[in-house]
Amino acid sequence: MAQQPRPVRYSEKMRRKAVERKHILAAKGGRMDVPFLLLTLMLTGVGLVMLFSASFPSAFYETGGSNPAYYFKRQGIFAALGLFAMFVVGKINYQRWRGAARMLLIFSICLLILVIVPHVGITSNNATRWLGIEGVFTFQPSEIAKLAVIVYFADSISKKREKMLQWREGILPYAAILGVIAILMLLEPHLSGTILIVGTGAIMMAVGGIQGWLIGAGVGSVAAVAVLFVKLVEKGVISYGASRITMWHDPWLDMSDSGYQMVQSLIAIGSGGLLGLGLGKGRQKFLYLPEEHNDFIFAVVCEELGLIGACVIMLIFALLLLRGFWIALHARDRFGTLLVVGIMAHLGLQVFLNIAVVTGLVPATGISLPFFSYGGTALALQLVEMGIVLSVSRQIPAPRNG
Amino acid sequence: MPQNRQNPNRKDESIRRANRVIQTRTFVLMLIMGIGMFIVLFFKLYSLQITRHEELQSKAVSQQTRSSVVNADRGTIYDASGNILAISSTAETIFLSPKEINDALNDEKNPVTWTKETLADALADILDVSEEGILKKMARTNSMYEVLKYRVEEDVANEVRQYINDHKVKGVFLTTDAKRYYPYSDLASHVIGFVGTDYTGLYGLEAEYDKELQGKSGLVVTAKDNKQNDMLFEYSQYFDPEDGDQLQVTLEATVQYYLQKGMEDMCDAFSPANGATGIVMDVRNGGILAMASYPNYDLNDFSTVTDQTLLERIERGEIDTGDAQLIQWRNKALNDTYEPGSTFKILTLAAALEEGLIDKNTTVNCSGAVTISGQTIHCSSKAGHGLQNLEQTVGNSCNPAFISYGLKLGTEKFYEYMRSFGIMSPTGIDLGGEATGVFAADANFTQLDLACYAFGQNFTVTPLALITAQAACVNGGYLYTPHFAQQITDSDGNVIWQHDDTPVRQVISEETSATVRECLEYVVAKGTGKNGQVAGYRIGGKTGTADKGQTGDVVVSFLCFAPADDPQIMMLITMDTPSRSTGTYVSGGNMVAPYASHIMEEILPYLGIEPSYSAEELMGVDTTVPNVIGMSVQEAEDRMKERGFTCKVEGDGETITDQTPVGGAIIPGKSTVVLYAGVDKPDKMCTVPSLVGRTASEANTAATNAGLLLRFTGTTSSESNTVLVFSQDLEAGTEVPAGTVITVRLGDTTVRD
Repeated sequence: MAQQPRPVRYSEKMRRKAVERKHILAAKGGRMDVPFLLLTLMLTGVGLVMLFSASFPSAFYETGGSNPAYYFKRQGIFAALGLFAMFVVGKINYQRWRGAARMLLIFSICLLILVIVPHVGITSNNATRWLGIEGVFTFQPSEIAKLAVIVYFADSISKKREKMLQWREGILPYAAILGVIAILMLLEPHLSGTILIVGTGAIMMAVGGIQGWLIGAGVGSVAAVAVLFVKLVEKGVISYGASRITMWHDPWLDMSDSGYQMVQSLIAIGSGGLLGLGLGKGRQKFLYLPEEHNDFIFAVVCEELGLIGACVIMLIFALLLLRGFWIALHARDRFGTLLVVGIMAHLGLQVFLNIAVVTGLVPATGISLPFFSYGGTALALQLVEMGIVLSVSRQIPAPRNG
Repeated sequence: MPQNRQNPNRKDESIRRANRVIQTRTFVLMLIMGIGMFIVLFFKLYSLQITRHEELQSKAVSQQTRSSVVNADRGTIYDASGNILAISSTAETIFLSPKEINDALNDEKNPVTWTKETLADALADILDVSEEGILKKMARTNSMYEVLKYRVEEDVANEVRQYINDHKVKGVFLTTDAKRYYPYSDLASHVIGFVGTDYTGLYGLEAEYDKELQGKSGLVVTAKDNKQNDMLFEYSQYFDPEDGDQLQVTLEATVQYYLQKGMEDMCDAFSPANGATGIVMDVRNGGILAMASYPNYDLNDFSTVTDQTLLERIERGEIDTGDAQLIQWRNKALNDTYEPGSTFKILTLAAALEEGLIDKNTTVNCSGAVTISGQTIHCSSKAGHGLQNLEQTVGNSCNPAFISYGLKLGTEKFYEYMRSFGIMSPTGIDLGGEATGVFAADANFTQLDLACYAFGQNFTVTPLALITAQAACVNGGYLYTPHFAQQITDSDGNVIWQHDDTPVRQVISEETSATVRECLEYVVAKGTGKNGQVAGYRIGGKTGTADKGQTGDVVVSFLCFAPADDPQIMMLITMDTPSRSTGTYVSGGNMVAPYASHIMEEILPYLGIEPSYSAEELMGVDTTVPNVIGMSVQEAEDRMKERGFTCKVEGDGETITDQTPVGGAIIPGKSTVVLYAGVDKPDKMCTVPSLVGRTASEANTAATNAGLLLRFTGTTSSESNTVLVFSQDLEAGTEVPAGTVITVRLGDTTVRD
């Protein structure tokens, strides 16, 4: 009896050492997933080109004609920094994120609290979402919170295994974290960011192994609430968000005011047709389409590159997602899997919601398009996330040869 | 052992299960996000970019482009001699963009030196529009296009341009478009018509031939950003305008001028309450040479009411300006009908002659009244005209006589001829708004109706339909469609359409027509139309004084045509409700005929219809030529006219330097005297023509052409075609100085002893 644990303990120790060695070997020797890397670079490149095309009229007018490449240059700098960061992160053993997970989460929650402290956060368009020095460098703490949630959830869930089936272990802590973050972000307010973080967190919980019926119930209740909300708005019971819903149904009702953005977006997309007007030859960006280099950049893509161009870009996104999930499926451990699932789910949600908003499929919220929309920190962080995926991809065990 | 073994096994099992769950769910998520999501998005994009492409693209184009229409040059309208009646030239439209003005004023970075008030004040001053109006337009700050003034002349436009440049004004723009000019202002205004602000024809030929004249507008499309600046890239398309076709009409500006001049004098004299109208028609093809309607207006300023009678009515509050405009734009020659009265008798006469019911030998005894179906109808002569022959019944305009002609025809035949003459239907003239008269239905057409219709009462007809039928009565019986358009050419001068002069039908025979002509010539020579005589011409005509129902008002009219033996033109003038207080007896023969005579006197020579003076007229009285050398041209001409000479002035000096014949020479009155102002009298010799055997008129023409003068002696008679030249004092072929008088002897060749 007494002897028996030894070999176990020994073997356990040996096993851990062996694992450690393997980790180090994998981290050192494994190669980054080339398809995923190429797709990421491709999107970054195409995104920059489209940003230049979409932003030059605004830059032209805002700088009085002196610097039409203003936005492009700034975005380019962040893209370069982001790519550098991506390679660095890709080289780092992703297991290191485990240790940082809890700290990162606490840190990001602190930042979120800091944002809503009066006079600390930077307010723009009636929302206080930014920290930093205005005009020099600003960033959204919610971006960091997103990453923190993904890393923390991946770490925590990967340790829980079958405990995920339990209510106390599998649901409550995560729901609490998401709840706190959601409340803080809604105070900014930042609805779209909240949706993304909660959605990503929920997907990670679902993939992580919570009860199957809970997933069904969750999806079902979200759908039910959404439908109920829309119905109640239509009946006039709820007035909050009423104009968004009405404008979603028929933006042409109020073309000059609340439906303006949607109408301009639809006009841009529709006038692109099959082949588009040609790169750089879009017209809607000339002060017609608001947010043309931010949330509505995809409308410019559709206008200039047509259905074919838009589909090619969507295809690159799709391939990136597929490859990402492929990496998740082949990751060495659950942590890697969940980390990649979280990052890819976040990316997928964001792409889907952005294009759905721009095309009028869902009511308008401000969700940017990864790799395309203007926003330096967001792009850099996106590339860091891609770096994490690449890091996971480096440790994929080589297929056993028969 | 088994427990220990089982534990890790169960643990492995649960790990594997948890891993499997993660793997499965990740795989499902991969399918949803990597494939499902994009399929949904693809269908949404497809519906927007392919299904709704056209709709959304047109919306895009409409908001992104500012297209300015480039008006095609509207075709010119020419009269028969090539005078321009309506022509387009470019002008500019001035408009402002209140939105841009507002933006410029609110732009703190680039302060401006002007305000809405100073700008409005300056523009109001330059454009002659109200300042409040401009300010009101400026207040519509979401608008980008408010027209300040259409069709601005070039110099005014330049002033605006200058102001914009001087004061760095934003939001005021000029675009070029075309302006329509009517060089003759109020000449034939009812026929030519005018165009509206959108440059489409509203009235007259401008409306009738709008499609041909208009051409196709061109378009310049420029891409604009949301601030209405040109977009950063070049994007403009230019669609060339296609110029309109040129329209040549049968109108003769000169004839029109004389018609209007004569009618204006007439209207001034008798101030008709309901206006007047006149038509001059070429009886050989139905072409309208002139058409006038009163009250008249200026085509270049068609909204302004200038007619005195209308202005008085506005002042009295009977009508407002809008009503007055509608009245002045009305072409009474074809938009209104009237009871024609006695001028209509021509048709009754023609029909009865054609049917053989009457002939030149018919006699009618007029007792002053006739009773039909118990109703007594009076003749204009209460005492009666007594026994008359056919010519005299027409010359006297005897109602009982024409009632008897009408009754001889019977109701059916009468209507048959009415229809055949086109009286009961529109003539089909190429001008809008033609009215049709009111007639009793065939079934209700009684003998009493027939009796009244026979002398032109109790039914109505347009002056145009009447003259069209009357032309058929004298031109050999052919009914032509009255028309204006002669030919249409495209902007390159290719003829693309030409009027077809084929008559609609022959209504009466050549012989009947000849008899009608003789009767109508008698009317002017000896009957009620005496005042319509024109020296040197054989004129046929018919007077009319028609009761307007039982109102006591009348429409007086006069119809005439010339030459009576070979009609070329016909003129019908009507005047509605002339003043009774002028001292002139109210009748067509007294009021209208004298003015018609003046008009014919002018237009017949213009149209190249040579006068054929009877020998009696040519004989005149020999007159001494005054010496006018040293006088001013005007004075000399007046002196010559006093003596009954006509003058021909050679040279363009101010005083007379020489004359032919010299002062003191005795030559026949009505001869032509040549005055030289600054040029030498040519010492060329003239050849005496052979005059023997010619009529007096022919001899006169030949002598005038040779530069010589004639003096007649011998027998004269009004039956001039039997009087010929017996002898001449200078032999044919002799060379004599210009202005030499040849004395010829006339004699009646039918005299037999």
